Amino acid sequence: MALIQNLLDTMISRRSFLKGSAAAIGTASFALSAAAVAESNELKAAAEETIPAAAEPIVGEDGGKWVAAACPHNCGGKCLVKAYIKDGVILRQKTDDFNTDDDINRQQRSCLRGMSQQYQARGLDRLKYPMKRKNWTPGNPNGHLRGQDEWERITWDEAAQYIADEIKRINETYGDNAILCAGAGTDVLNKMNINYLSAWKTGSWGGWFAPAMLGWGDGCNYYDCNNDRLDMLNCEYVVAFGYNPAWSSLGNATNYAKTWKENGTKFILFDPIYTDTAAVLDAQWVPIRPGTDMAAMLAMAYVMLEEDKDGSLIDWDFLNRCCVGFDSEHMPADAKDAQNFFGYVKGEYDGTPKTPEWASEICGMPAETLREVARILGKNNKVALLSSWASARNYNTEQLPQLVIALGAMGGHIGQSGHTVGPTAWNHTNNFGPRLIKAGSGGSTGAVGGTGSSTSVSETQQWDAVLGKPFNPTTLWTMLNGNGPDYWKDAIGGYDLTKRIENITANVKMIWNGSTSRLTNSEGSKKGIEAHRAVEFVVGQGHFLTATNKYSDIVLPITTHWERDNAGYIWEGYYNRDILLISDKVIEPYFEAVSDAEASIKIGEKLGLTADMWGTVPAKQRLFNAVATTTVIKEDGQTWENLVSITEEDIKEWGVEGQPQEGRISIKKYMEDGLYRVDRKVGDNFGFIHKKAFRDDPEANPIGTNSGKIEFYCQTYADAINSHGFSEVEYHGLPKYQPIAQGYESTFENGDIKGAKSAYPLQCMNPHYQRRAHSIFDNIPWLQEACTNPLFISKIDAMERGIQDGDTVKITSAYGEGLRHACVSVRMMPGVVGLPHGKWNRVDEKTGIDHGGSENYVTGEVATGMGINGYNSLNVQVSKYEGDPIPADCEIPQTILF
Amino acid sequence: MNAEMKEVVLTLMAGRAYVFSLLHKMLGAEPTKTLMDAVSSEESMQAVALFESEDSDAAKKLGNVLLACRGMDEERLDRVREEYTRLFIGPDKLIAAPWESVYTTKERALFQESTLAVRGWYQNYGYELAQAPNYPDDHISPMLHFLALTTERAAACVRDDVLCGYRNMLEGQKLFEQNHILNWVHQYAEDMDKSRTKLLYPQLVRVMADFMAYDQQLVKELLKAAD
Repeated sequence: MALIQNLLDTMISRRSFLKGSAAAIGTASFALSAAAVAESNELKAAAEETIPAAAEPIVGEDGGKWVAAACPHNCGGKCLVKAYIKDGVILRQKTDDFNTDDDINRQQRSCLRGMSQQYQARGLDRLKYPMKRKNWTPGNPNGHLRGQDEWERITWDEAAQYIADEIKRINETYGDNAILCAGAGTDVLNKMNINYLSAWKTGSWGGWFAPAMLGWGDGCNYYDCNNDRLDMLNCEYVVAFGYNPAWSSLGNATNYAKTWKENGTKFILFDPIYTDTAAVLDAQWVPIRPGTDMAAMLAMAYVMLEEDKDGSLIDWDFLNRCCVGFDSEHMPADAKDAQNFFGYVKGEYDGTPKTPEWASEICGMPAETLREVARILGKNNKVALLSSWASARNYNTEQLPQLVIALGAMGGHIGQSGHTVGPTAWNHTNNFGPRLIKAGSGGSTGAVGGTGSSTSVSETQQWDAVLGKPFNPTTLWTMLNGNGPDYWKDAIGGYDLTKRIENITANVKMIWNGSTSRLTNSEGSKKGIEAHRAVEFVVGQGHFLTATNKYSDIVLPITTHWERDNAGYIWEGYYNRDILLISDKVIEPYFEAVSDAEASIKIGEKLGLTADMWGTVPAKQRLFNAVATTTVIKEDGQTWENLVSITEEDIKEWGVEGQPQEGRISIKKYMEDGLYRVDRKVGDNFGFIHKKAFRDDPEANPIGTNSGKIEFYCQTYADAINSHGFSEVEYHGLPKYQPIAQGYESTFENGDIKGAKSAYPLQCMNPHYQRRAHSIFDNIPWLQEACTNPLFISKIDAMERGIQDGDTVKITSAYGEGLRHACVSVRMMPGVVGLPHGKWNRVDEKTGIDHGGSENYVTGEVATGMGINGYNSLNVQVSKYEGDPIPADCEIPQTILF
Repeated sequence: MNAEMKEVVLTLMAGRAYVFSLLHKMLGAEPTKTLMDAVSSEESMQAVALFESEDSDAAKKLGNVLLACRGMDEERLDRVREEYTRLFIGPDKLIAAPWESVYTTKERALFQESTLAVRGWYQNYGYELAQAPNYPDDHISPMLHFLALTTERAAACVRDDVLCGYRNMLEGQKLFEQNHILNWVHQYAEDMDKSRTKLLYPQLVRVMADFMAYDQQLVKELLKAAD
């Protein structure tokens, strides 16, 4: 009672505090009351004031419900996530636990990233309010301080006003192409009819970016470029390049392959790494240097030619009927010269027969291995010849797809059961064929007005473009990717393929990173940072202060998909064929975050864009429309029915307009489950043999090439690269081997592989990494702990450099330097290091070294060939770092290194 | 409770309400000249000085921190605002978090179980967060507001001679502090010590944590006064 006793004793002197009436307790009479506090931190009366007995409220789990939440990320998987929500709080998560699970039909179980989704959606470090750099004002940008400045909070109104004013000012002052914009924001510029600069990339596809000319794929994707997964049970061998679904396509892809393996299929995997996939599938590992896959393929074609005896290896019937360009008797009409594929392979034109010995020196595996695999590729084996996109994410590998198809065609592995040739990647890895369940359409948004246009720049030149240097403005490649398989035949006429396209320059004054991770996912980000600092205004928007957003002048907080009224399917086209995921809003928006679309509306308002321009149909209606028009294939494999049945009651509950309908499951069940799966069984009607009709009758069923047949010699593709590409080296219609930029040969001085090594003697590739979906999830604590993102280095290379496992090492290229901990592993091919893709940078401004180890901080802008983003092509040196060891990623205090 | 005791109790309750309100505002909003002048005013000094005792220097230290807010010029206020932004808002990762859930889950996440528990406390007494559901309930600032409001109600009970209400309220406050403030604020103060700058807020959080610990003793004394 010490204090009270004291006060009783000295009551008179303390009385002054009360300032009069004992009733006037509280702060109303004091200066303190004049000070405002953020409303978000205030309590208000909600009910009758009560004074209950003191008790800790029990937060039990009753009173909540499981809500389908779908993992929305672009990861190569796509799985079911469910969140248990009580009073708007996610108490726990789970995944698919209700579907059956066996060798054929598997639950769509979420990976470690989907399981972390609530920590993204509810992360402490989410962007909460619009913010502005302290030292940026219009007209006085202080661009050099981007990435190392203090910030202040601003209102949405202020943010929208700044952005609108800058757009107007910059457009009026500098005209076209003054704004480099990607993602959100392009909608605003389009509606304003402002011509902006838009960067395109071959991105994930690499050399598989322009499939239409080769007659494979739908013009953008490759869902149906192989036989379905149950037919593949008939494959005796899978020979695959750069194939690592265990890291790159989480979900069921590896499970499907495991089923083939357990059924007797043998896997032969060409890869610089002995991957987890190879381990799970008990594969024969064929080590191969990044960017040299074409040499290996040519050598195997050589062996097949050399050893074929009257069709013991080569399917001459298939070649003669279905292919052109392989020999002198089957040349396509548009071939510029008389060279044919077999002649090239035999060395008739360049004096270099493409023998296994020749390839072995380049690729790094024993010549005898190439012979063995070549024999396996013979026509009498049931072979799946697969390639992920990774081996074509190398410079100058434009014609790798052409060569994969040609090599597979030699063995006749196209158009018949148990044989298949094609790319395998992303959401359709190991699960091919037309969709068994089709997402419906949300219908019109009701949006009107604004057409807008953009000028193209390749991501291999975008920083140069921002810095005022000349760049190639071609739109040819984006025309070829993203339209249907036959679209190109008419559209190509709009391009002059006879001469090199002329470069242009642009006067870029603003960069708008509309929820895009440009400075993580584009090559040459060291120059990219320089470019960001050179312009007058930079806007970033997204969930966190990412490696890209931190170089902004204004950042806008954006909601995750879980916080939005969904207007349809998320990534509706990009699921594996058996399933369709659906979800609605899960939780309320975080602080002041809004969706990208809402941010655009706010900015548009300041530019005079009216509400009707953005569409008037509510999101709920569009979601309903999409679900109602979703169809699922019937058992006959031919006809379709509605997925969901809808009653009048449902329509009332949704609060939308619509008609009742019959369907397979109730709309209620679909929304609760969050997923529908078409079950398969061996012998069902959902099988698919890729190019079967073509094989049976190529005249009646031509493929999408110029000739209608498989083109070992594809003239148009070469013409396109030579006229609308970036190379000095001329491409030929045949898929010829060339040493790639930043490949194996360039690790030697003068490119002589028998000579001395150069200053950058190692090859660096960027494997996809389980911690992230590209750059997303990089900052989630338990993922950082589970996956530490080291530099993978072979034991030999480490020993030569005195590097031990766990040491901090410096990766140096001609373009930048980065730091990581070393993971010394015999699973890495000597001469090759692995720097995982998607890591956020963390640049030490004093030294220019990136402590984050972002792969694209050390890659460079190399514009060659058709403009492939050669993420896996890089020459580096690795050394033990002389400075202080870097902490583990889970221990770094802040994204910005001060 | 006799009249003198009543007056002492009411004085202390007024003082507590004032200090809670002061801390609620300082930890819940960007600093302004108005706020800086108010927290360093004579009234503030008097309110804080009420709690000086031999048992704890929490009040003295709090007083010193508040005094340093006196006579702030524009330039200093600007830097203090920068420090607040960096420590409470972002946009970069926060080195210390003013939300309980971050310390009870270790996953750098908001809107967790503790948010629901704290919301339950507010609801049981007839309050809710003004901008629910977009903000978490377990931010230290609204928690301090809760303590300020319930202190005023408890004082009203004293004035009206409803001693059981007074006791219930104090018991409630004691439990709330134990379960939802004292379980994390000292760790929060440790983290604040890693701040690049130490103009105001790292010190403020430290003295707040110490004051909250001291408040447990105060509440015990105040409860005894009703015996």
